[in-house]
Amino acid sequence: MNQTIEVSDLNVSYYGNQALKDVSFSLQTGNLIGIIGPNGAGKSTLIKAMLHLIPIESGTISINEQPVKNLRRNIAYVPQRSDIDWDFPITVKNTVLLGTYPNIKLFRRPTKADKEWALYCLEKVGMGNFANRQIAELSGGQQQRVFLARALAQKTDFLLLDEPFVGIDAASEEMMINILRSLRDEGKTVMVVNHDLSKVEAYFDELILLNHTLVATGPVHDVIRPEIMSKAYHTNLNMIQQMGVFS
Amino acid sequence: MMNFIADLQQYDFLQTALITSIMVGIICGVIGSFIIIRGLALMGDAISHAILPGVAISYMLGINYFYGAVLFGIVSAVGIELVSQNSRIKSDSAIGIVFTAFFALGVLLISKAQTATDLTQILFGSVLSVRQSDMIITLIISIIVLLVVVLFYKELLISTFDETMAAAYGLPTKWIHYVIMILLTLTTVASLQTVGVVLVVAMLITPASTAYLLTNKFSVMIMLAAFFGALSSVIGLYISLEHNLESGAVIVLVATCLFLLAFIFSPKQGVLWRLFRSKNKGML
Amino acid sequence: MRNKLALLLVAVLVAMSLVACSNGEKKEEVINKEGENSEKLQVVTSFTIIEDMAKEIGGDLVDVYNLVPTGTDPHEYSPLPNDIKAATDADVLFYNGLNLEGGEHGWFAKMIDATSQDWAVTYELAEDIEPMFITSEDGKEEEINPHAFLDPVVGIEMTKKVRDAFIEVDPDNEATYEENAEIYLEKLIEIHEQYQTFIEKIPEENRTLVTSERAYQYLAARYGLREGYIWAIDTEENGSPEQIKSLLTFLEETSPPVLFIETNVDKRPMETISRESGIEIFGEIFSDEIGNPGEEGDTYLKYLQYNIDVIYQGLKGK
Repeated sequence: MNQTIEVSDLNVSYYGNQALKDVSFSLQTGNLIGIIGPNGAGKSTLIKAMLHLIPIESGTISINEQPVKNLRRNIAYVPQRSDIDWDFPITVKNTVLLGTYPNIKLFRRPTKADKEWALYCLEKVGMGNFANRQIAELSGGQQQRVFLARALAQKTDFLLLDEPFVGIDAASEEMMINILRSLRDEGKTVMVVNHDLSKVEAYFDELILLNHTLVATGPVHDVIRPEIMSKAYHTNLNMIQQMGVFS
Repeated sequence: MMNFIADLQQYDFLQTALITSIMVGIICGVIGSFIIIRGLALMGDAISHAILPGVAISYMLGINYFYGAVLFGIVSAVGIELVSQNSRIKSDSAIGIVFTAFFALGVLLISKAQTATDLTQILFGSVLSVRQSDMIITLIISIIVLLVVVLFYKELLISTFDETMAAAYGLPTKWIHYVIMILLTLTTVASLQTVGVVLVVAMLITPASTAYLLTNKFSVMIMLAAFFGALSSVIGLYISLEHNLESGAVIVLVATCLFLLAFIFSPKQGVLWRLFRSKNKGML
Repeated sequence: MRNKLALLLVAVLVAMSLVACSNGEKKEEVINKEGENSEKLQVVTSFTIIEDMAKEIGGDLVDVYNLVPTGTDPHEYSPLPNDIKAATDADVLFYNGLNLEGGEHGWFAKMIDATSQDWAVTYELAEDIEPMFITSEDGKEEEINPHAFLDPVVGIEMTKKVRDAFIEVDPDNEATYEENAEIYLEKLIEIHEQYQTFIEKIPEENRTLVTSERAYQYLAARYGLREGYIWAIDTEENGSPEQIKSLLTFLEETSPPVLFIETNVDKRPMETISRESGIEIFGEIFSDEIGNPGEEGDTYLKYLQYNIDVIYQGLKGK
């Protein structure tokens, strides 16, 4: 029995500007899915809308015929690094511990087991030695890994990451994509908003190509085709080629 | 010092003042921690001014000013939210629009209510004239504030640190925001007695900022802020008694002194330590 | 954990040092307060005029602590720590009433409540005075005029209240209070008679007292003076264009020989009136408070005397 993520006729506007128009797609779960498109194409808007973090004008989002609102605790979200107040007085360890909160009942505190689980997730992203640091003391890549650890701590079947690879070092990126792959191999669904076209082929199984409307969706090789890409990017193929898409 | 203790035993009003100002110091520190982290310092100032019409109306109706003040505090918080959420107006401008309107209305109503005399007390507070009944209301407010923070600490923490994640897993972040606004209003109203409208914002921001410079743990920050708030109240009250000075103003200045000490000597954020470090680096 | 403890320690040390710094001074005062005359009746008065009365009638039997000093508005006062201590320790307290100290929500009432002082020993001196009302220009606001004490006859009533209060709290010394009050009342009656004769000597058409604030309502009613004033109710808008215009019209109708100005108000509005009307400002008279010690009008008697002298000199005509 295959599970699917269904988005149909999704419309989202900000102050009268239409950010997403009639976006519909249906994707298999258990894949590593990239969301790509030019700047301002509505990539982040799409995943925020899918989580109902922003009001949607019309459309439905469901996973396996369940409205996504009912499944929120089964979805982990990793925000863009710029959305976080890095001066917040919180240590790395406690940041990851926040990932256990959705599964802790009201009025309850994290247990010892929760804390151990958080540390385990931290080890998994190779940040165990930084547990007691304040989050601003980390490099960009380390910060991103900590937030991935937090998502892992949520023990969800779905992970949504917003531009996780922006401004981070190669080693961190490598480590993160490996973790995302192993999650996929465990049968989880990972959706990643990605800006850098050079690595889409290597990273993702499926792609969603956006430019306010849905331009294309499907297996990577069906989407990364010059005639399709140029439709989204409104630019000549040379540019795209220079960006290293078609190797 | 001995005089202070002897006076405390002798004078009921001093006990009332001390207990009230300690409670106010504590809840201001706690709520102030949320306020400064959420970038709502201006909101504290706004609410303290916006409650003025509530105070006037309470006097007209002959009821305790707490009720009107709390009502108008909440109404103004909702108003600010409505303006900033439903238009492109940024929230600091929305705050400016709403609170000045309420304050102006308050000035008009106060003059109509013929309570110009009370305006001074509301603006500057008078912790030494706190009545027993006001102390009890302060106690109730403190219990409510602390209880809510303790019970919902998890939710408050996560929605303060990462509102998006909180909303993503289904927390009602908008309601949490309103809960914080209600707590802020309650705290502000309680503080009116000790420091008054003009200086409330100092009690909200200064002890919390002092704590912010000293720790990397939010829970510790809250406790330190509460401690500094209470400490400022006690020392301030003591100095004001010894020297026959206006208590509210002295309390605020003590809080400022504590902040300056942290600002200079804080092991992580302190100016002195940074200077020292950068010098050492230079030598290397 | 060790960090936190260290922090706490630092904080406590800071507290201690602040406390230590402020500890050195002011000891004397406290010693004085306790060592001195603990047998004397401790009296607290709300403002200078009552302070003076209480001293006159209480004499050596009482210690008077006054709350609102000269130069401070008794409507809006924020009691200082020593004020409240004194109020707590007081055996008897006097205040004017007629909302001078802010009425039932005002600072005085709040202070009495906060100190859990007994209202039974807190005497309102103007209790039996029939209140007169002042109205704002638009007629929308009306409030009690608290300035009854400018009328010597009211002063007489207030003195009797003080005397009776002292006797009530300290019956052992009834004779002394009676005697002191007797002497004081005689002087007040003398001044009252002076007010009567002086004002009678002023030509009828000159009997108009023009001041900045309508503080002299009781006085004017008692002795048959017409009142001219810029503002009735003391607000933030004293001397507005409408107020100035309305007084100028009044001056045209009544043409008083001179204008007066109070010692404790903003002089500019009256100077404008003087320029516009061509009527000179004759001099200053007292309204809310008596003069500083050693200066003109530093007792209630001198204050009343001074006022009638200036008013008479100004209005008697050529």
